[in-house]
Parts: sequence; C-alpha cells; structure tokens
Amino acid sequence: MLKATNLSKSFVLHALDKKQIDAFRKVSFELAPARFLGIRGISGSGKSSILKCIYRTYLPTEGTINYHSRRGVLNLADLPEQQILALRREEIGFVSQFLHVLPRVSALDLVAEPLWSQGVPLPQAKKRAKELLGYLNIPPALYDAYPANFSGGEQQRINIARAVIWNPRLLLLDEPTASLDEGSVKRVISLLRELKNAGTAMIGIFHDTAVMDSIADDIYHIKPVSHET
Amino acid sequence: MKPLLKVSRLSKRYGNGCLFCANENGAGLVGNQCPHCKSVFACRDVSFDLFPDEVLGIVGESGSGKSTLVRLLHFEEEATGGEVFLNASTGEEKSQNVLALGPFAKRQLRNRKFGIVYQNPQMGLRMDVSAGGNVAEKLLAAGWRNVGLIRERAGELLKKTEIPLSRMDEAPRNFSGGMQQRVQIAKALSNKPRILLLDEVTTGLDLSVQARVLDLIKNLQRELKLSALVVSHDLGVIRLLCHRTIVMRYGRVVESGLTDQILEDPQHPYTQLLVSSRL
Repeated sequence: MLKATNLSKSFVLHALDKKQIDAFRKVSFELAPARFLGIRGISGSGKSSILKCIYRTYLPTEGTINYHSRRGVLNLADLPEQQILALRREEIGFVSQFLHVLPRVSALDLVAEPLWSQGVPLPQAKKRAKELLGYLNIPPALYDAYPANFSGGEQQRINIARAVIWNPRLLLLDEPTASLDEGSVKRVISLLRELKNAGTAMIGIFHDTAVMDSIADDIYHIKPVSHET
Repeated sequence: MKPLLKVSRLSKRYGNGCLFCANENGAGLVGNQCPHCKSVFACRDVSFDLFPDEVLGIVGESGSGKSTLVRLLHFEEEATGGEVFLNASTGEEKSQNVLALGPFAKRQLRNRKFGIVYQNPQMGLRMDVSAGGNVAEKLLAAGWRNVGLIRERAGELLKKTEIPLSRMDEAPRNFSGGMQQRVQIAKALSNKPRILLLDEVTTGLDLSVQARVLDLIKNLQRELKLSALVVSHDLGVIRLLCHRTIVMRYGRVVESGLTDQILEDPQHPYTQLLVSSRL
C-alpha cells in the first residue's frame, strides 16, 4: 500500500545562519492494505515529521514514498501539488491534535462536510455526522455550537469524526487521543478498528503504549538523529 | 487537468527601464527599484497556474506587488511584459494570450469571466447607487437586458450574501463596512464569473464580520465551483481559504507550494521570516 525508502527530512533555518536540523534520517518502512502501522520513538525523534512528509505538509529532503493509489503507484515525495490535493480529497486523511477550521461553522457541519464533499447529499451526511458525534460522547447541545471554544478533548473528537466519516483509503494519525479520557479513547480505538476492517490502512502515533498496542498490527521503531553541529 | 488561468512571466514596470535593469534579471535591483533609471518593478516575471475550483493565495508584505498582480489580471493596468492564457471554457482547446486582445475584447472578458472584490468598497461600488443597482450594473455590462430578470438575480445574490432585501434599494453609503463588502461580493458574483479576484477583502473588518465574510466566500466558492485568487497579508485567512499559496517579495514570486507546506515548512528565507513573525 505504501513503502517509504531511505526517507529523510531536514530543515534549513535561514535566520540561524542556514543551520541544518535533521528531523529524521534514512527511514524505511512498509504498510500493507488494511493494516495499522504504529510509529514509536522518544519525543523529538521525528515521528510527526514522518506523517507530515507523507501528507506533504513537509517537503521530504530525500527518499521515496511509493503509495499505491487508485490511479496506480505514485511517489508522494515528489508528486505535483495538484495530484497531492486530489489525493487529499479522494484518498488520504490526516488527524492531528489541533483543530484548524473556519470560525463560526457548527460542529455538526464540520463533521458532515468531508462526507458531503465526497458527493453524499447533505441530509445524509449530517445524519451520519450525528451518529458519530453521539458515539464519541459529544453532548447533543454542542452540535450546533462552534468548536473554537470546545475543550481540547472535544476538539480532538471532532477531528476524529471528520476523518472517520469519509472512509479514506489511507489515514495518518498524529496523537489523536492525546487529551482524551479512558472511555473516549476506547471508543476512538473501536471506531478506528472498524475503519481498518472496512479496508483503510493507517499510520499512527500514540504517546500511550498500551493504546498503540491495542490497535497497531506492526510497529516501526525510530531512533533519534544525533545532532552534531 | 489543464489550468484555467496560466500566467507566464508577467511584469509591470513603472518607469522607462534601462539596459541595466533589462539585463540584470533583477539581480542588481535595490528592492524592486533599478538604481540607475529609478524604474520600479511592481511585478517581475510572475508565473503561476490557477486550476479549476482552486483557491490560490498570494501573500507578501505591502509593496510586494500582490495588488498590482490582481489589477494586471483584471486589465486595470497594462502589463509591460509576459502573457496570460485563459481557457475560456472546458473543452475549448486553443487558449490565447488575453493581454494581446483589444480593449473591447478585454472589457468583455472582464465582464463575463471575472469578478473582483477590493479591500476598499469605494473602489468596487458606486456608493450613491442602490445596492441592487450596483449588482444590476455588472449584469448590464455582462450583456443582461431584461429588467425583471436583472432585479430577480440581484435580489437572489443579495440574499445569498445576507443583505436584507428590505435594504436592496438603499445606497451602500449607509451600510456598515461588512455589509458593503458583502454587496461587493454579490456584485462580483452576479455575472457567474469563472475567476474571483479577492484583494484583502477582510482587512479592516471586525473579527466577527471577518468570520462571516470568510464563511460566505468559502461556501460560495464551493457551491459555485469558482476559482479564486486570494490576496492577503493575513496568514490565518490564507490557511482557511487557500489550497495553494504563492509568496511574493519585491515583485517576484519567491516561493510557491501547498498552503500547509508554506506555513509549516517554508523554504525561502523570506517565507521563513514571514511565517515566524505570525502572532
């Protein structure tokens, strides 16, 4: 499904006299369809950066990321921007810890939107959104409220719902349960498992080892880059 | 996918230019000015593609050439170099350099294919003509002739941009800044443009009004399948609206990329400075 080979990412900081910072170096791993690959490593070892390179929020410095899309095998590391945008619309989802959304759009509309964008009629998309929000224990009183002033945990669950609702082929998860209570974590994991059984491949980072072990099929251990100046 | 708009080495020079600044490829300029002949390059060799349904952001500090770029594309200023190709409709194979068209053809193209919203509503609206009349003016320019249909369309658009119909016959002079901006948007959309040009449309609005205008633009863009160029110095606006972003400085494009990449992994020294200066 996805194969990363000798992937590296470094940042060049121009304000610091072109200082080069390596996020991670020569990383290789493989992800099979409908499997969950967990990435494990100490903080600062570049786990998030790997996910961001796959989603192309970061430009990989070297290496390849061959992804088996519906249109054939594509190297995400140097795919033209228009094709990346198309994949983000049609195949690849990303869940982060942070919610960046338009202000003054209700929680329900935010969750329904990705499904609606896939061409599902709005009433149906909203119905599914309600089911998901309900399952994730978001109080119905909040459906019409704006998530900007929700708690961190509520915002995370909105993020999860937005990602799960449209069944992407590949889902990237960056600490999706970081500030959730135990009950919510269980529900998120069972949603993810359901999605995986339906065919979605996933790469994820969880700071909680037990949570990671409860969903991951394979684990990739990343070693921190030694920073020499 | 073919781009809807292809801009190639577009340039705008104020002043006569000289051998020095013509040959130096911009390397010898001080900022955007030639030290010999004092000509100013508002845009220099600006190239980019705008795709169907795409929202492209243009960021840069004031004086970087963002607004000039928009004016060149709207035929309000004459370019001193470069080409602009427009695929007028899907399926039409041959595209033409629209900058080479005559004044009548340019005006027709502007009236039928483009909509523009300025930072300052006074530039986009006649302040003493009714809100409905302002929209009607654009429709007349685009070739509409039936008064009943024009009024119906104007009403429909003002409703879409949340202007109460009871105020349709009132002049924008009496409106708040946010309402004036929404009348401008209604006017810009009236001719069903393919390309919407938005020049700092939320600058100077209250935060609550800004959110409403952004939400409106986002919804209309999706609903009407428009392509848009969004000029803004507000990176938050760019993040929310734009798929891709180009960064300008001293009239040149210094970087372009996916919006999240520009904001989180900027490559050019200037973009890094810009992003790290964000509040």
